[in-house]
This record gives sequence, structure tokens and C-alpha cells, in this order.
Amino acid sequence: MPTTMQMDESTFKSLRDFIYEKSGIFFSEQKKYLMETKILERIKEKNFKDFNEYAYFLMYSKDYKDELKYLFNAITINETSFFRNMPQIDAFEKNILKELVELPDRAGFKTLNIFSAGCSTGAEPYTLAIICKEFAEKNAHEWRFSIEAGDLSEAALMQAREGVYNEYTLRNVPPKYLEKYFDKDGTNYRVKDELKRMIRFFPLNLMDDNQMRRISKKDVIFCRNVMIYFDLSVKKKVVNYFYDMLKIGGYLVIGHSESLHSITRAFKIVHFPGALAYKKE
Amino acid sequence: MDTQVRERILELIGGIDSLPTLPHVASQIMDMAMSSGSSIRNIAEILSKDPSLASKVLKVANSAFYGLKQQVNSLELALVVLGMHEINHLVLSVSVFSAFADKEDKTGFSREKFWEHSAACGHFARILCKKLKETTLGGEAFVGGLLHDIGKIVLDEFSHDTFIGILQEAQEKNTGVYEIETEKLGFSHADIGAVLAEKWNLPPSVVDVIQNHHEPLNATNSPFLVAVVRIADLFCKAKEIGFGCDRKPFILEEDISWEIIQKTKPELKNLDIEKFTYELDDEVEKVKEFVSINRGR
Repeated sequence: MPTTMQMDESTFKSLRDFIYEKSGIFFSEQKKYLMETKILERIKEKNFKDFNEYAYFLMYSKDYKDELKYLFNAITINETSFFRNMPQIDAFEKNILKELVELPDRAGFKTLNIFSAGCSTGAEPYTLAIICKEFAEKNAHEWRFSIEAGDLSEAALMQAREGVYNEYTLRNVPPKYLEKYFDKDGTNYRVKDELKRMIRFFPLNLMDDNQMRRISKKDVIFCRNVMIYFDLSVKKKVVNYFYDMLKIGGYLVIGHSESLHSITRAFKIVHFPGALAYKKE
Repeated sequence: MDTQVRERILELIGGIDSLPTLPHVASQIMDMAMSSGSSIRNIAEILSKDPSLASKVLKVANSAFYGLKQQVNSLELALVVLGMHEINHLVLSVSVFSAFADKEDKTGFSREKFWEHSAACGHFARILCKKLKETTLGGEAFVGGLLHDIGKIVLDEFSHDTFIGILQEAQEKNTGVYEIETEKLGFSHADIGAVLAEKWNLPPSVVDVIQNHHEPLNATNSPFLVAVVRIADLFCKAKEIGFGCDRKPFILEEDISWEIIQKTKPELKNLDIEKFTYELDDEVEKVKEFVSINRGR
């Protein structure tokens, strides 16, 4: 049983480097405490001696994959909320959309196609729909925004189509948008039809080559915290499909601490205030 | 620098003597570090003549920001552990805070945010040097980063309304302060900073960083250092540290500074940019601590 609750600095760093190498997700020091707590639970459960022994097991055992998956799930609390990670949303609204509607060669086709890949219960595509609507009202009346949102889970898709959310999921929605785009439904809120009409929800299997090849061209793809569970080879394939799917000048947005460094160098990494995205040039 | 520009700057501030001075002890130590034949004991003696400066130097040396593996409880030990050059850079970085310390914040320009941005820039520049295996340049990179925008403080003190007008215009137009300054005044904070840096007798590499951080191709003394600080400055923007005026995105590989660094460090193209970006998140709190130690009266 570990005598202290603290993981020493070097164990933390080698664990996080290992996790980064295997999954492409980076845990900052802010996550250290959470990591400690979750690993400690695991140490007790599986009778490891201390943090070091656990780290050794994770990094050198044959079955590290299952343990890694367990650890991810525990650390990246798999919550879904509207307006998740504001710097990314800001970059989408204030930089990416603005840039895309000003691209000279798009003048004839005033539709932007946006893809939410791994949309879960719909928080992401609805957030993007709100941003697009607001953007259109302020800057681009003549533009149409079409959002496709896919997920593997039928249950999640059903909830997404239903569009009913509790206050907690909506806690980051600015009040003016809550009023404008939602109807109160008991203790919950229901998304208004004007947003629903902007989105097509559909069953999506990112590993299905036939399906991926048939998806139409996109201007922006959001695929946040979905690929961290994939093997390197699968990830490479999926990212390649995204690359082919994007129009020139389009952007791929992944989770805020995810990386494609070991996956591809095809994109240009663009830094925005507090966020980065991958651009196809 | 153009002599005309220099004269116009001196006119604006009312002569070179109006500019603040560095604490005497800091100038002495800087001279000693640059000349050979000074011993660690001499430096410790000089530094101990300014107890408030000395205590801040020790505080910073022992902070998470500095990241020493051992505690240094005396000046002598600090000197042994850090060496003469590093102590010089540390003393200098602590001193600049006192050179501008007595002035209250005026509206529209937060000194705290200014110093956070400056310190982060210096810190990131030092980290970048380490990544590029140029650890010995770390101290200069830090001082250069810390002081790169020092001309803005001078402008704020000597021509506050003009400066605030420039900041506002930069924000409205979503462009850089440097561009607006050049358009409005015919010179920029980089020129003003260089005038101050020369008065303070700062090392030529640091003067070069201050003068050319917006035009790295004009660097004469230390193009590598200027480019590193410029990249660190971009990372500050990516981390939203300080008073970023514009939201302009950037692509590192397309920045001229990136190319300048790559000329001597081809391995730069293998840098894991994403990881480097995320790693800097761990540094932001340390930078704030550094600023608060130095701004504490």
C-alpha cells in the first residue's frame, strides 16, 4: 500500500509521456491530482505496492492497452457539455468561420459544411449550430450552414435528435442563447427546431472504410476526444479520411490537449489564442 | 537606429536623463560579469549591499519558476550553484522591476499583465533554448524576452494618452501595436526600448532582441536569440498571456523566425509542436509567481 498520496514528479512525467506516446493526449500538471486519485484507487484494487510499481506495470506489461483504456476513462471524465472548451469555440467563431467566408474561390457556393464526428448526445453539433447562426446574423446573412453529426451509438443519436438537456449539460451556455435557442421543458430545456433543422444526425462508424469514403466534402471537421482510444494504425487511417474529406483551406479540430504529431504531417498546425487546429492547405 | 528616430524619441521623453536608471548594484554586477577577473566573492559582496535586491534574487532562485533541484539559502551558495553569468541575468531581471516600481498603474494598461507577458516570453525563450540544446544561451534569452517590450512601459509613462490610443486602435483593427506605433509615431516601442537598453549598458545581444523582435531579419548581433524570443512571444499569444490585442492566428513553420532558427538547428522541424504547446501550460503559474515575487514591495 502506498504510504503517501503523492506521485513523485518523475513518475508523473514518465507516465504522462507514455500516455502521450500511446494515445496522443497530453495531461498537464493540473490533471496530476486527478491522475493520482484514480491511480491510487487502482493500486488498492489490484494490490500494487506503490505508484512506481503501477507505472512499471502500465509501461511494460503486455496487457497495457486495457489498463490504459481504463485509466483514460477514469481521467478524461467522459462528460458532454455545451460550449465545451471555449478557446476552441472562440477560434471557430472568431477566426475560422470568418476566414472561410472570406475565401475568394467560395464566392459562388455560399454554404459551409461542418462535420461533428463522434457527436455523442449532440452537445457539440448544437453548440456549433448556435455559433453559426449567430455568426450569420452578424456577418454573413447570405451564407447557409449545414452540419452533419455522426456517432457510433444509436442511443446517443436518439438523445441528440430529441434535443432535451438538463441544466448541468447547459451550464456554459450564455443566458442570451439559452433564451433564444431553447424552450423550457419541465426542469430541462429543449432545443428549438430552427437549430435542429441545421443538423443531420446519422450513425457513423469511423472505422468503416465504405462509409468514410462516401462522406461529402467538408469545410470544418470537429473530432474531439474520440480518437484517443484508437490504435495508431486506425488513427492514421481515420485522419487520412478527414484530410481527404476537407476542402482546401478547411480545418480539423481535435480535443484541446490531443496531438496528431505521430499521425500525420499533412496539415499545417495553426495556433489561435488558447487553441490549435489543423489546416489543409 | 536612425539618428533622427533617436532624437525624436529623446524629444518625446525629455532627454536621456529622464529615463529610469537600473539599481546601482545591478549595473556593477553586470560590468563585473562581462569583465574577466571578478570572483564570486566580489559579486556576493556587492550584491549584499542591496539587501532587498539580494533577498528577491534568493526568493526567485528558490521558486518553482527557477526550478533548482536544491534550496539555495545564501548568496554565496546561489553563486556557486548558478555561476556568475546566470546570477548576472537573475539580478538584472529582478532589477528591472524596481526601475519601474514606484509608478502606479494608469488606466487602460495593466502593469501586472505587462510583466506577466514579458516574464512568460523570457521563460518560454529559455525553455526553447533548452529544447534546442543551447542551454548556455538560456539566461540571455530570458532577459531578452523579459525586456523585449520594455519600450511600451516607457511610452506609457511618458506619453500615456498616445499609448492608450495606440492600444485601442490596434484592438479595433485587430492588428499589432507595433504596426500602429510605426504608422502614428514613425517609430515603435522596439526603438524606444533600444534607447533605454543602451542607456543601461545592457549586453549587445539583449539590445538586439529589444530592437529587432518585430523584424528578426534586421538582427545584427544575435539573430538566433532574436528569433527565439520572437517565437516565445508567439507562444505567449497562443497561451493568451498578457495583453494580446489581436486574435491573429499564426503558423510557426511560416514565421521568418522559425526559418532563421532552422538554419542553425535543422532538428527544429522534428519538434513536437503540439506537445511543446501543451507543456507550456505547466509553466504559466510559475511565471505568475515570479512576477508576484518581483512586484511585491
